[in-house]
Amino acid sequence: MATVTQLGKATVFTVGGTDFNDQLVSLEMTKTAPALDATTLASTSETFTAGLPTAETTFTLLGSFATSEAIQFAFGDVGTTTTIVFEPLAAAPGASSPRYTHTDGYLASAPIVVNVNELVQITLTYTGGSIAQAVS
Amino acid sequence: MADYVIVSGRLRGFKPGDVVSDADLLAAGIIPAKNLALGSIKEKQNTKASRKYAKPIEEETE
Repeated sequence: MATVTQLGKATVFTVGGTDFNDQLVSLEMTKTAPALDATTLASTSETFTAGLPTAETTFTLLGSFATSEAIQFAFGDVGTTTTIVFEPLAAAPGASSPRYTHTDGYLASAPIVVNVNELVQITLTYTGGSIAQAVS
Repeated sequence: MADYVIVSGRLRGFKPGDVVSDADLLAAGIIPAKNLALGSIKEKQNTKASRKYAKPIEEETE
């Protein structure tokens, strides 16, 4: 089985076209197709069908308070939708090097969490929209 | 169509000082209004020579 060791080498990570690759600490992209129960009395087992697909991307960035950096960016993005692009591998998008694009992700909140003797980080969750996988 | 000057070094595909149009930004997934508010881009000032050397308005005399 092929395995991937992620060595902090996301080659592309942009939020609304802004490149945060060098501040990305962790990332979770989830594509979801809710299971709608389609079981009837004629069924011989439980049957499901796909509901409206949805998506969620959560990521943590090292925070900076400077212009155009993570925290000011996040505050400007609250209440709006945006596009997030993630390419985990160095090769151009292809059969073995996918690109994931989350479109129309909505940011509901931008929490600032500050602790003594810790780097400032900000964790953002964009919900809704859809995630597409490009392999060409 | 407005022209903008890139300010932030974080806008992928552009570098600070680049002059771009709405279409250029939108093609890169960058929403001009949002980034204008953030200060990542600024509106390009009109520096046409015709303005710089415009004839001054003469004072009205009775």
